Amino acid sequence: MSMMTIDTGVDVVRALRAKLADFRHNRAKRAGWSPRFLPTGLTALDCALPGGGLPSGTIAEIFADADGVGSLSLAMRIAKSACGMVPNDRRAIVVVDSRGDFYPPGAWQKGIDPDRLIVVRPRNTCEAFWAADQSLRCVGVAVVIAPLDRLDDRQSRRLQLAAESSGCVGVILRPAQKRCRSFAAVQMLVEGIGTGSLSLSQPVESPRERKLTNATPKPFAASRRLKPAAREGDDGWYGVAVDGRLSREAHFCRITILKIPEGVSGQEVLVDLNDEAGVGTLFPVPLDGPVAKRA
Amino acid sequence: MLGLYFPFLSTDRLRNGRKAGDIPARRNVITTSAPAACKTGSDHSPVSCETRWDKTPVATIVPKGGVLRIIQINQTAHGFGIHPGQTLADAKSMAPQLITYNDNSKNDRRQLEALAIWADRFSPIVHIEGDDTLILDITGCKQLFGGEENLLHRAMEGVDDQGFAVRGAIADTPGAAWALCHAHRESFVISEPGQVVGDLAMLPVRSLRIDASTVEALHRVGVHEIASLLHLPRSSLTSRFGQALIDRIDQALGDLTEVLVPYRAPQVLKSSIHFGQPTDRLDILTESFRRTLEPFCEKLAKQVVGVQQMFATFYLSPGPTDSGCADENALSGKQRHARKRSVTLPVNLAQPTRSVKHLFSLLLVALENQPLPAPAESLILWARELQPLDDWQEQLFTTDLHDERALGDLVDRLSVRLHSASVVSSKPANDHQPERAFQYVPLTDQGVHKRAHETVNRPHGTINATRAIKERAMGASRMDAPVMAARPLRLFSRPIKVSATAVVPEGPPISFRFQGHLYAVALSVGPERIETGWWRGPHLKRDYYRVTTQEGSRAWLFRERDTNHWFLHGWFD
Repeated sequence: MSMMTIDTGVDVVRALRAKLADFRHNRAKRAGWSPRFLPTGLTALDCALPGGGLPSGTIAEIFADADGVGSLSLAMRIAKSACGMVPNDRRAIVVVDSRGDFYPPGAWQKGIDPDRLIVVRPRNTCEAFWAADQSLRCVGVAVVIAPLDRLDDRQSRRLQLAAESSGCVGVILRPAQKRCRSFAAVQMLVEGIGTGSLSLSQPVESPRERKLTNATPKPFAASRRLKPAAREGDDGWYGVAVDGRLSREAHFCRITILKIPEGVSGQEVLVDLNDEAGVGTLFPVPLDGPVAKRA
Repeated sequence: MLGLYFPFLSTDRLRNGRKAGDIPARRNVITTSAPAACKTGSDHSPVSCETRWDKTPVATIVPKGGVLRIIQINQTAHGFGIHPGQTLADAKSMAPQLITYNDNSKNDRRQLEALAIWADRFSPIVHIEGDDTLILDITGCKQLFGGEENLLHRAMEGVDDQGFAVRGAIADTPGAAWALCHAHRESFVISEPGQVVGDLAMLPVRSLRIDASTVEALHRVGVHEIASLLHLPRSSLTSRFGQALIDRIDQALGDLTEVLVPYRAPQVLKSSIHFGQPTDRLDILTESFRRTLEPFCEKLAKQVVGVQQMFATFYLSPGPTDSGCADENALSGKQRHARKRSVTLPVNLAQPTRSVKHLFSLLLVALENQPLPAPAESLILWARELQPLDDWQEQLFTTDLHDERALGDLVDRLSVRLHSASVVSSKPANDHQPERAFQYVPLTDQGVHKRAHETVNRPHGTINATRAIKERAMGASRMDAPVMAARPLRLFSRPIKVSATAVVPEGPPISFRFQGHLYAVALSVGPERIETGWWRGPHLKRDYYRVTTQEGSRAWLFRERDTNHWFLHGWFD
């Protein structure tokens, strides 16, 4: 009997959560069909996110613990998948280049269409924040990528409301030292993986069954094996073989989901950001890893 | 082709009647009523002015590099041996009685445009070439004037009557006409049809409209006249001096057609309002925007056109100290700004519009950015270039759900608040050097003609507005861009020198130190060798490596092959 009460309680909570999500979604006014969740393009990450992707109409804060670990690549992947979601979509991707070192050819190689990429070059942080705010309010923008070092509560709330009003996704890149609670709906931490700590020859266990609401990303096959290839030539590199394919120049990183609406926080995934197919990603942390914390 | 060259345009204009804005650089102006000369010059007798002018050397100066330099001179100053580019001190030593005025190229340009409009009576195609020459296409006009000689006579007489010194020439091609009127000994030259080569032979090479560096290079080789230039083989000319020289020679000889763009006086659409008393209250100013925008947009609607660039000029009331006796020169820059007569707010748009609501919001943003230094007396809204805009396009402005329109609105708002060069789209450029492999093109630039001097150059990609328009016109395709290996997402505009160690001197790095942190390299892919042509400037020889550090960061390092120094160029973030 007591078990049933608990189940009903859980059901009630689940139903309330679903209603809250619907309410949030209806606030986003958009012409045309808007997907509720935006897949990030990385299968492991999509599996870990409820709904199979980032909720649209929100801000995602991505903290990077060092330069070059891959936070901007992750943002580009999200932008690229946003481009491909709706057919005949002419919405733009806005990059607010507050650091002054954005390199468009790198974005083109990641698959971003140069005609849809708008780069805004502000002169100071004030202008950068204002540009991000204005771009988030625009219905014609799909994704806004803005590295903003300092973002206080008022500003993050303002950006979150701006994204909700237009239904676009904002990706704010910040250094990990500034990690704190904020009004952003999604927060993720990207860390580099020391190559010594990659355990490559471990077999994969199938992830726990999770209810996915909208999108259906490809589930992991249980028998994916990774093994280092032999040293090739004198170049001094070695690749990682996934399903028999050699993956050159993998860019491994660990993404920890710090905050996600209607989901569990604290999950970690190890991904290869350079994998175009999004299939050859590494396994998530096995079941005896860090304990999943409730939101 | 008829060419008219005005060698002393600036000083002649100053003599004929000074416009507002011509500030004399010194107190000792010719007339006795010294400061009154600052305003529209109608309060000194032109006769006495002219006769004394002809005997006095006059020049205009501009501060350059911390020194005042001479820019334009008059006949008498030329006689003293003063030439443009000299410092004021040198010129004064040659002619102590030299009178100087501050250089005002804007008014000079306006004067030249006025002369172009006047020259319309001789030919329908009047082209302004450079800063001081008019080229008229007179094919078919000669009969009306009774022959080429009569035509040239009448043109030069007419210019003379207006008070300008002029040298004229008639030739087969615009290039030849330009060369003859600039460099020929006589001021009245008619070249027989077909005699172009003979007439151009003895002229110096600088009369071919090439830049000073090429002229110097030719002098160094010993080529001073066009005749000797024509004797040189063409292929060697191309490789040594560039295609531009060959193009100019061909244009002068008639082998390459030169398209003359006729000058058309811009129609200015205006709407103005005068305030009862000078005000700088924000609510009154915004209300004035509304009151002027409505008739302005109505006029646009009547012509079924829209604007892509418009200006709002506030005329400011003069301050209490502006009685005209003060020495303008003694004011500091800040005070001079505070005493400006008018403030112009530009508004650039991505697409033509005549929507009152949209323009009003942009004008408000522009006013926020640029507060008025003094109370305003009147407001004029004006626009020069008008683009056709149909009614059905206009209706989309009212709905805000259309994505394209919303995006255009966003670009306009960002461009007005930040700067039109700050909202850009990227285009590939045909260059191997990574910093130059792309170009930023301002988004508000498509369609609006920008003057050639409004370009902004940065080492990290160049913004070249006019080149972008030309490329768009020529349909430059993305296939021109070179194929690239993996490129980082973040690239520093200047590579940062780091100290790195490598096992083999020409091999990949095993560690590098950046910002006090020592990164140990776990994997590296490379080298990717990038070299730039020695003929294009500094010769770059770089070996690039994509390194993964042991902490997991990925960086783009290169080693300069000449100096063996290591640099960090970007992050594969």
